[in-house]
Amino acid sequence: MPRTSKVKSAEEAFKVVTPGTSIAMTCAHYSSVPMGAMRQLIRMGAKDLTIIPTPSAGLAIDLLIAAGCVKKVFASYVGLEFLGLAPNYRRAAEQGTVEISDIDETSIVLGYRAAATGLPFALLPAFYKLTDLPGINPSMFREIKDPFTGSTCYAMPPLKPDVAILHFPQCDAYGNARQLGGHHTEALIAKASDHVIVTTEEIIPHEEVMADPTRTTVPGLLVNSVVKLPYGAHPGSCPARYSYDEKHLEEYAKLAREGKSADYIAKYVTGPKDHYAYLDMIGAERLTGLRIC
Amino acid sequence: MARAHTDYAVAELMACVMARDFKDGELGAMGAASQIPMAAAKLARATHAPNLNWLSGGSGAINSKLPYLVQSAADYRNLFGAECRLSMEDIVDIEVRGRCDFSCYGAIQVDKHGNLNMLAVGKDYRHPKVRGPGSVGLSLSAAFRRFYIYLTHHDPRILVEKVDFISGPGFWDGTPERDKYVQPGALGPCLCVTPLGVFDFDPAKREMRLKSVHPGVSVEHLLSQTGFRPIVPAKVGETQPPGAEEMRLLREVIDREGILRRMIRS
Repeated sequence: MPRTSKVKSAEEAFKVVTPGTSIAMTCAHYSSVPMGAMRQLIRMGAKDLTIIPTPSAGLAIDLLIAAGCVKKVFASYVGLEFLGLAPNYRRAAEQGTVEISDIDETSIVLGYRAAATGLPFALLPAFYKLTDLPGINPSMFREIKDPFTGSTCYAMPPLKPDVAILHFPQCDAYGNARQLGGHHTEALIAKASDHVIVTTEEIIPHEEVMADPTRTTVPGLLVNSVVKLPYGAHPGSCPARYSYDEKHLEEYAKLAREGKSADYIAKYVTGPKDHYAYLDMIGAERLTGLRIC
Repeated sequence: MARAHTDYAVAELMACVMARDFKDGELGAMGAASQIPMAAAKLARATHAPNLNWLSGGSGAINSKLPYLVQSAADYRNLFGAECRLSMEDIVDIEVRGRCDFSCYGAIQVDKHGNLNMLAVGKDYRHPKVRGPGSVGLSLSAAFRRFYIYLTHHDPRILVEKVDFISGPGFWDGTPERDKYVQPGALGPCLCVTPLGVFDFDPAKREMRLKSVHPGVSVEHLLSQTGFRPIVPAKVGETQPPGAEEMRLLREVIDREGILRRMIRS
């Protein structure tokens, strides 16, 4: 009996995201951010999502907020890095229209690690006492005593997303994925999540994976669906494939600052009927100009 | 000694100030949008600190040799010529454990004790005047052996008496209470480098002390742009301008595309 391919259409794969779903996605700032998947979620009318991000995120969350898809964000860093604050996130936070649960880099990683291992909570060092995080977010930071020494430490609930959406340069039909650049907790998120969707620049032959299994960075046994989305990180970057599109990002940031993200969404997200129509709109000249290989 | 350079941008001067303070054999960690600290690390390695190890943030690169600066420390291209790629989990382990000698931080508010705020400006956390991006790696200021503060704007709304919220503890309230909760060996902030001058910290009061003003900046002007009264010694020196070799390295080797030159408009 032949093995079952996990390759699905975007429409099919993202059906698992329903109102109220908590999602996690790859990225370190603009690197490996699954923007093709985010545009698909918006086109499918995703709403009331809870976002559990990576330590350094922004663009995807800002766009989802502008599109009205988000109820709650666990925040470590939500910004546009060298393009400044994330305007839609900032407005939603200041007006209280999106619930924010402030955590940080260390607690995200250790929170995912607790979920990955199935532990009841993550253990955090005493230095959180010197920050305002326990005070402003008591549902996530509880002061406890080290049972061995009696010293102060903190406990935090595990971070266990319903659905992880991870973008990779390469993946085979069974979900064996290769990250070719920085590892941004995607392997940890895959272990912590209940359901994992991989979007990939290309679907490589299984034989290629078998020829060099040490290059698989997220094993297919953790992955539920594989969706081919070439340039699926645009306008972000995909390691070993293409750089971020600074011109497009500047356009995004400008419209967002001016409160005109609805125009951006109409033009680039809901306007094109699917991912390939979006790529046609960006154009071959711009896309191939971003290649770094 | 090489002739001082006069045609420099203030971000280049800031990179020189930080580079001169990085020691040979140390391990430094750089976060997001770290153009100035990344240039400083490359400059230190090319001059007095060939054994300095440095991490280029989200890219995971240790000792990147990329021959130009990019906007993002997370940029894949930073892996060019690097020695290894650390995963985010590796980075958290190394940083929390207290293995890093220093890091470099910016913030939306910094106070006289070197506390850092990236959360929100305003008294009402639920309805802030400005919502910041979040705390990211700032709590690790209590785990690094020491940390640098660098600001691309010297402004009384940023340099304040007391931050509204603490993302990264500096010397906290200035009392020794802080020392009970930091990781062993975490000494706190060492320098605050801005486009107008350099502060260090008075070891007894644990407060910012004006160390030098940059060439062409008066003490009065700097104080007028600072939202608290720092300790001002009787004699405040002038920041040593970039030397000829420092400028050659910055312009011809480290930042050929002039990212630092375009960063801060005076």
